[in-house]
Amino acid sequence: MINPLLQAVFLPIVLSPIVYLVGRRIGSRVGWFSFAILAYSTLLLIYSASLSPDYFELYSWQPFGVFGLRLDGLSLPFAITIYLLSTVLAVYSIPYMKHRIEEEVKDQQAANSKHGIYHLLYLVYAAGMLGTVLATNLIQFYIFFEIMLIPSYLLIAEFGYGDRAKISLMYFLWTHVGALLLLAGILTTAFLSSWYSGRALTFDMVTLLPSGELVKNIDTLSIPFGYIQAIAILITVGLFVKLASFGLHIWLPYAHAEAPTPISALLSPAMIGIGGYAYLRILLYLLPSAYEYIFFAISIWGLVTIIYGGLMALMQDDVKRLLAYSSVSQMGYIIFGVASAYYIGVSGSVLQYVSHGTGKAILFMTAGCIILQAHGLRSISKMGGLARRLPITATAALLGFLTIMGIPPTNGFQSEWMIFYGSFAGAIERGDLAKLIISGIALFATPLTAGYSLWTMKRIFFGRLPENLHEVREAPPTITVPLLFLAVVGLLIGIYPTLFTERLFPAVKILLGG
Amino acid sequence: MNEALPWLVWVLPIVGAILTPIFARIGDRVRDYLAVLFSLASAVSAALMIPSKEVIHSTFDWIPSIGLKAGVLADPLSIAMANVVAWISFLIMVYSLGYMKGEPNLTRYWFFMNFFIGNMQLIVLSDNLLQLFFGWEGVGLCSYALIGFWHSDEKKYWVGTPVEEGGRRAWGREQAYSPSHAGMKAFITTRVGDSAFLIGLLILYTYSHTFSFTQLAEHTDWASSLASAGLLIPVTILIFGGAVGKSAQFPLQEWLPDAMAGPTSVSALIHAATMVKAGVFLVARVGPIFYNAFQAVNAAPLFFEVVAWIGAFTAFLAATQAVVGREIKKVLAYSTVSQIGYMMLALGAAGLVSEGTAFAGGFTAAFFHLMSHAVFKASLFMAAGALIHACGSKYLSDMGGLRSVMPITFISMLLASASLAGIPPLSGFWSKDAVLAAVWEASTPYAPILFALAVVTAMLTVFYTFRMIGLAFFGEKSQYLKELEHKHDSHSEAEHHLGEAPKVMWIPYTILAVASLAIGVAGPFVETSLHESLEHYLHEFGFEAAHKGFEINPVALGGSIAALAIGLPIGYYIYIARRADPAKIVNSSSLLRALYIFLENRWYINTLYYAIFVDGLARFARIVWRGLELGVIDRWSDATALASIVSSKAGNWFDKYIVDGFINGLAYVSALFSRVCRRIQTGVTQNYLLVFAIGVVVVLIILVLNPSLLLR
Amino acid sequence: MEPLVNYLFVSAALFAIGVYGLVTKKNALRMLFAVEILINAANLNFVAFTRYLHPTTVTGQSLAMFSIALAAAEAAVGLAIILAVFRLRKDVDVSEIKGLRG
Repeated sequence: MINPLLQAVFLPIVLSPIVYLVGRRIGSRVGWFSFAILAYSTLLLIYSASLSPDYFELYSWQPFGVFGLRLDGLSLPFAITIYLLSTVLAVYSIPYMKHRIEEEVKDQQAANSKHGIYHLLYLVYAAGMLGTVLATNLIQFYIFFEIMLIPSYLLIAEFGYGDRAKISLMYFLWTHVGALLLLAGILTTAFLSSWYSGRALTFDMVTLLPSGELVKNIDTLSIPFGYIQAIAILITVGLFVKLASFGLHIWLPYAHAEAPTPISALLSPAMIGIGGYAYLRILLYLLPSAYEYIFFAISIWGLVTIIYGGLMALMQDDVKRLLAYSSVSQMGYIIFGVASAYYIGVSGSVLQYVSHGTGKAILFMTAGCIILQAHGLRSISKMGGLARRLPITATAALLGFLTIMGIPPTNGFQSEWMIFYGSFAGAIERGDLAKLIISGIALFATPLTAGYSLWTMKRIFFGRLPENLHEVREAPPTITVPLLFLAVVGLLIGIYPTLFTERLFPAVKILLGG
Repeated sequence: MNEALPWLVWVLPIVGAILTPIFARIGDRVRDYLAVLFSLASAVSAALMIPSKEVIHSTFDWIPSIGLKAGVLADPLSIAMANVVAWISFLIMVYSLGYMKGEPNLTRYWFFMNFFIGNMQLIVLSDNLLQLFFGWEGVGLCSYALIGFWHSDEKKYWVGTPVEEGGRRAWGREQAYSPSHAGMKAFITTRVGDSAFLIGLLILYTYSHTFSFTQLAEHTDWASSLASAGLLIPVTILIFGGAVGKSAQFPLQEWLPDAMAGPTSVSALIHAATMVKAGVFLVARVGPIFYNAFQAVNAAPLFFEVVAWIGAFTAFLAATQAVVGREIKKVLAYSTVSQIGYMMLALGAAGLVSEGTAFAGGFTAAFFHLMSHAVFKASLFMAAGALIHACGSKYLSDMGGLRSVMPITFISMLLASASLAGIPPLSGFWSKDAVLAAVWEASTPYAPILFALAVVTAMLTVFYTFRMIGLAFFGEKSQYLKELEHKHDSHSEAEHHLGEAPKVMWIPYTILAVASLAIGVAGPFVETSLHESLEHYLHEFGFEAAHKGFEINPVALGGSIAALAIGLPIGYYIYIARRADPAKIVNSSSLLRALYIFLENRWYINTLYYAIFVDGLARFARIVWRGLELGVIDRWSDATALASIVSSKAGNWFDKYIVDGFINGLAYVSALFSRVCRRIQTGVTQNYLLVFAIGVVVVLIILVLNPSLLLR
Repeated sequence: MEPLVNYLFVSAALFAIGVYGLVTKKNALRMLFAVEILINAANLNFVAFTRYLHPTTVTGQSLAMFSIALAAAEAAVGLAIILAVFRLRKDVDVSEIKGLRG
């Protein structure tokens, strides 16, 4: 098997025009093609992971340096989550987008064409996300960052709900500005690093030693602290726009609520967490002094985000907006874990990405299921008693909420205890009482998550079934099977997180400098 | 073989749970019986562990990179607890066959019942705290799902009295809850406790680098590091927070009364016999470890004080609320909270002793009461379920005179109630007496106050127990029942069979009632052998055994007798002999009336929590939502959008008027210049000639005046 | 011999007549005649100067020959243009033809 990672990233992109053409012929069923391509790519990822704990492929890419794809303990959880979700959601898209597109486009040929476009954009989007987490070169990272932004913008604009033209543009502008801030930070880092350390300008984050090992390539130790502060703030703000932390989050409820649901299920769980990944790879790894400077501040920022997201979730009537605010809150946990300055806490953040990935995807899928089966119903106050009509959906939703709440045996618990343990341990190691108290407050905020989760569960699935919903039937297998598959994966990781932790912990230790 | 047994005890029910939907495909009866069978298999495995002399400790790697192992620990404490849980669970599963007969959605019921049993056993048999937490949350999940079993929330399943049926409002709030609400309330309340637990646990782990009970007991260096950071007491109390939540102690006790919205078999299993005991079990597991820790660093055993006080206060609080309970299940629920308070009190007292050897006294008392209570409370709940089925109502006021109609249930319930009330020679007497003795022997200056609280609670217990028996079984049949019978007669087959419960239901609870009697009869013997085996267990933690024989503490005995002497006659007089009307007594004095309302409104604690944490939180969220999110952030975002539009328009204006204007200006100037110059081109030949001529003349003149120009 | 200046006077007179004709006449044909006179004046000047200043050369004379040929050509072209204009405008009054006015 040659160059599995390269295939995994580029095959979807290369095949997407073909998928478009096929879609124009056969309509929504082209989703099976997308599924096949993504499933194959996921298998390639797993295959690559089995080859080595730190598997990488390097290609020459003048003038930016080396185009590298690296699947180590840190990027593996992200990569697997992204592609697993993409694969599963490709199947989910088949009935969902059929319903969505045919809601607006009556002519069959035009509808088929739109299906083709959807899957073309979908494949490029998925590949873009993967490329981001596998990148070893800063410019390459930025390019893939934008590659995943543009298809998602188009997907919202073409297939979204509500005031989608405005909202997709809002989404694009916000995240693009964030990306530009990040780019500014990256470029400053690279240039200043080269200036002060006397080495040639390079954007490669790592370089290959003769021993076959990858080591850090950008030396930032000699950059004066004033610049480091500025870079830290630039990169932090830029990435936190992506992570939708408090104050920079306003685009997320709009974008994720009005995106078509399979895309919401990718935007929210998979894409925004990449901000966290970038933070670890770029800030933590390349700029440890910047991290030292800023981690206490971001722990407070994370705490505020957790609580704020939860409070806002309580106020929502639209189920997708509620899930979007819940994502804001969950990203707060990731930020909090990143701020723990201890390897288990940071690893907990990575696992939180995975668990939020599976959990929130399940939840968005159930929301989409209700929209599908109850003909566009999104307002929670009009729901109730749906557990009787949609038992599988209700079970999956409960599992999704349990994951968000961090209840064992779901993987949400593993990430939660690791984040908080890391936070406590880091604080105690440093003798930092303030951090300890902040961590305590953050843990006490978890009942808030339980509150909005269970309350939403109750309002949607329990109680009285309204008259107009008596005829709702359970969703077709193309929806329920992916749903249950993700739930099972979540439980598996929750009981046996060794699948990821064995490689993750060492990788994070290296990231934190041992 | 021995090694596998503890694993089987908790794995078998979970396997059974997972297989339940598959069995359901085959047939309903198959599913039901197989579910019960799995719980039996687990119980048998538990029983098989009893004869083992050695502690069984089996582990395997779970997360190797941080040295975390999963494992089971079967020592005297956990084996005893596992058996109590397993056998009572099995009997309740059998009971369920009758109680839940004819209900739809039983697949979900059996799944969660078995899943619960498995998780409960996981708590009991885990060898480390993290794994215990898995079971801990697992039982919380099952509790949530089973309380909210009737999630269509029809009014007849609600707990509490809705306002339209005469229910009382507290501070304007209705105090009746739907099953799904009750389930959610239980989960969230226990989650608060669990958060505290998790904080304490994680801080502990930071210092000890192990979750394992055996390792925590062996090496106590973590205790000194924690103490020097000033964190030892907070950590222990935080861990206790989990127990407070799960065992419904003050201040997290409000979920348990409303958990009665679930089916009675669920109430019997989860909220009487097992899950609520998990907190007690946790304290029992960590109690000796913490005691040693405190001794090692010479710290004051503040943890045990807190446990004892919370236990005593909760016992009293709940007992007062049970006195005015209208629903039979609520009375039993308050009673459970109260009795668990006793167990916590005993455990707390155990740690407050002056000599390590006396620790076992309180420890045994707590555990004995745990076992004893599990047996008789499960029996009481099951019997209450039979009463509810028979009468079709949950209210005590709708019952009455059932002695003759349901004799077996009457005898069974009478025995179990007597045990609860602490009447010799039933098991409840001995266990409660042991608790009182342990409290009296605690070497804390407040011991007499704790003791007094315990005795007063005992009095109240006797009173409300016989109130319950009296209202249900004695006196005349209520109006409601008479109408029911009338309906029953006029139809050949009515839903509510006003007769004795079916065998599959009364056999389990009668077995337990008789067991309570049997344990009681052998009371001293049971207590002594339990004491010995627990001393043996505590020896592993470094406690020396006192090897005392069975002793009766005269003060404790006096207390028990006093409680009976005061409570029993009053209860008998009012409710059994029906010589006085309680309603008249209460109404006769405004003070009594106010007290009655105060107690019925649960000391307003429930209402206070709703006001702060539900309404208060919602109001706060709304203010932040309106004020911050919509008012500020949304506006800011719109403002940035507006700003970008405005700046783009400004740029446009600049481009159009200034940049373009400049270019146009240049063009204009040249056009102007050209317009002026153009006037020479008249098109008239003569003019051109004239100009030509004039030019020539000018040149000539210049040349004449300046001939040097020619010489170049 | 006669002094050179006599011939110069004649050529100057001819030049003056030519310029006067060119400037004052409105008829294009008359302006053309005037141009011919001017050319002849110049020719006379050329020949006179050569004869008196450099008698051994024939520079002026050959230049005069060229000039006569060119005058003929120019007259032909001029007449052709005037003819074309007359055909178009029916008029050879120069002050009326202002088409090339800028």
